[in-house]
Order: sequence, then C-alpha cells, then structure tokens
Amino acid sequence: MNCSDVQYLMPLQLSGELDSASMAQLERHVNECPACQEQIEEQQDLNKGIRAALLSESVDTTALRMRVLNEVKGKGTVSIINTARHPIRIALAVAAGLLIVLAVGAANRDNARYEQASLDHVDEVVRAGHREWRTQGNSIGQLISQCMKTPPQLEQLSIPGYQLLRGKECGISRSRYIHLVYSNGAQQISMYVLEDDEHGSFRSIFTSLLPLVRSRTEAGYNVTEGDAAGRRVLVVSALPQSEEQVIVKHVLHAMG
Amino acid sequence: MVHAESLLRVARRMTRNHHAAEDAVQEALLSAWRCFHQFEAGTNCKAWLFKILINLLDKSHRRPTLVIVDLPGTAVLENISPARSSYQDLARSDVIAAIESLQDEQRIVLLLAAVEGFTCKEIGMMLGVPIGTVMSRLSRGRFEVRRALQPKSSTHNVTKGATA
Repeated sequence: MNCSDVQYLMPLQLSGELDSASMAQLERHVNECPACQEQIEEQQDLNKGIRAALLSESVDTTALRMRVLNEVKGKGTVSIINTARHPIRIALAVAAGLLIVLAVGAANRDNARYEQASLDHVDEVVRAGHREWRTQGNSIGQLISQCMKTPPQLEQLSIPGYQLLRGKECGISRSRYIHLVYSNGAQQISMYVLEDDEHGSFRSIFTSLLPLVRSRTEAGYNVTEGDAAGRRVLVVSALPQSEEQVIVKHVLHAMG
Repeated sequence: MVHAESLLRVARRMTRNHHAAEDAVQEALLSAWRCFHQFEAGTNCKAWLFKILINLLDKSHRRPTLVIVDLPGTAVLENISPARSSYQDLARSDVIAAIESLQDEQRIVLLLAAVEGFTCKEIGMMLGVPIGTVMSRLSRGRFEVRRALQPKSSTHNVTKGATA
C-alpha cells in the first residue's frame, strides 16, 4: 500500500468501514509514513471540528413539530380550531346551515304538494273519479265548519265569474284540505283550502305580513298557491298562472 | 420526530435558508408519515428519512446539475502541508461558511458523514451513487473545507496538486 492508496481509503478509514485486512495494510503503511499519519490525524481532527461546530448550533424544532402534528391531525381539525376562536363565525355558519336545511325541506314539501294537488284535480275533477261530493251550499258550509277551527263564510270562498259546484274533504301531503270545484261554464277549476298548515305559527306570522303567492306547472296543469295569516289556498286548473294568481289573491283577501 | 433536529440541521446548511429548510423537513416528515408502509422494518430509519429529505431538496432546488468529475484516487491531497495544528478551536461561523462554500454534492456528503455519522455505504444508498463516488466527494469536500479554514497567510501554500 502506498500514499495514494491511503488517500483513497481514508474516507472509509475515518468512517470505520475498512475491512480488517485493508486496515492492517493501511496501519502498516501509516506507521512507516509520518506524512500519511499526519494526514489521517488532521482529517480526524477536521471531522471533529466540523461536527463540534455544527452540533453547537442551536436547532429549534418546536414550530416545525407543531406544524407537522397539525398536518397529521388533519387540516379539518385546524380549521375547526381556528373557527372556534370566532363565535360569530360559528353562529353565522350554524344559521346558514339551518336556513339551507329549512329551504331544501320546504322546497321538497312544496313540490310534493303541488304534484299531489295536480294529480288529485286530474283524478277527481277532470276524470270525475270521486263520487262523494257535497253539492249543496249548506252542506259544503257544514263541511268547512267541521274541518276548520275558524271557518270562513262560504261567500268568502266565492270566485267572481265562477259558480261553486261541489266540495269535499281530501288529503294532500298528510294535511286535510277542503277541495272545492268551481266552473265558469267553460272549464272547471279546483281550489284547495287549508287552515293551520304544518309550518305553524312562524309561517302564519310571516305570511300575515307578506302574503306569498307562487305558481308552477305540474302534470300539465297550472298550480298556484297562496299563504296569508295561517291559511293556504291552492288553485289547480288549465287557466293561465296569472289568472290563477288573481283568484288566489282574491280569496286570501276575502278570508283575511 | 426524533430525527427532526438532524434533518433540520442538514437542510439549513443545504438550503442556506431557515424557512426553506423548515418547509423541506416538514414535507419530508409528512411524506414519511404518509409512506411509512414503504419503510422496511429493521433498516435505518434515520437514513430513510434523510433519503426522503435529499430527494425533496433535489426537486426544490431545480438547479442545473452541477457536474463533478468523480474519479477515485484523483483527489490528490497528500502534498498539502498542514498549516493548522488543530481544528478544535475553530469559530462556528468559519466552519459554516467553509461548508456552505462547497458545491452541493460535496456539502451533502460531508454533512452526512462528518456531522450525522453515516457511513460511505449508507450515503451512497441515500444518494443513489456508488460508494467510490461518495469517497471521492468526501475527499474533495474535506480538501475544500480545509483550504477555506487555513489561515490567510498560508493559503498560498495550499494548492491542489502542489508538490512539497
């Protein structure tokens, strides 16, 4: 082994990776070569100096550990923690969530009601499938009185230009309605009247301030619904929606 | 995260930027956590973490590859006369400056070997290079550090390949 071999193997000698045979040869050369011996000692010294200098440097990993732990726990957790520091945000988020739930629920219920009313009109008026109608005004008035806590007068349910033909009680979306059929000589229309609907007092208060009237088409017929002061009127017919809305507003106003 | 300090120490010297180093180590630890199923039980966990860190540092640097000709045995250091009797009393800032002046390939092997205590074989596996390449880079790195740490009055005597 010569000086070049020692230089080449020095990294392995410093890291303790030399096999015993190579180590023995290297030691024999170093013992006889003061220059190589000095080189090895200096390299060992240099290693110690580098190590001591860098290890004396303060390395604070506190912030790093926190960041990693937060990431591992999940960003959702961090987000919740951050949100929890702002009660107003929580309140707004909860309120927004409730509104969305209520709106979606109400929209679903409305759709089901409109569809059932339209189908009921088709079955029992267009196809005349139901036979248990009350046709006398007094009898229809009694039915209304029996079904509603604060029943309107029959005159309040009259529609200008239309004659009341018959009436009965029916169920739509799990609620009991009074179903009245009117005719203007050319066509028949259905009007469904409900008191104290499932939306309760909140809707009553709201609609007493601002009556709600809305229309859509279901099963080929226009359906117009109006709410005011805890009463609901629903008209199904082949009339234009604008005419239906006039009728609904008139009846709501008359009952108001 | 027992090796976080070692990882951060090396990353700081490699990036020369504390924030970049923290980001790299954070990503390395998270990658290790996500891919822990890939860790082979019984192998060196610290070396595995350093391998992940080095890969991330390589990607984040996006520098043109620094080409170093690694020819085993050509790092001719034997004729350099030692001008410093001891390196134990060096100022930390001088050592750091000397190490940071090295090229990336030399700096990483010197940090892994001298500071973190990895063997040449382990470093070769981490970097994906032959052990001879590691040895060559180590010799070259030590030579450059040694030259940078020489007293200025004697630097003219320290020349690669100078004859005694």
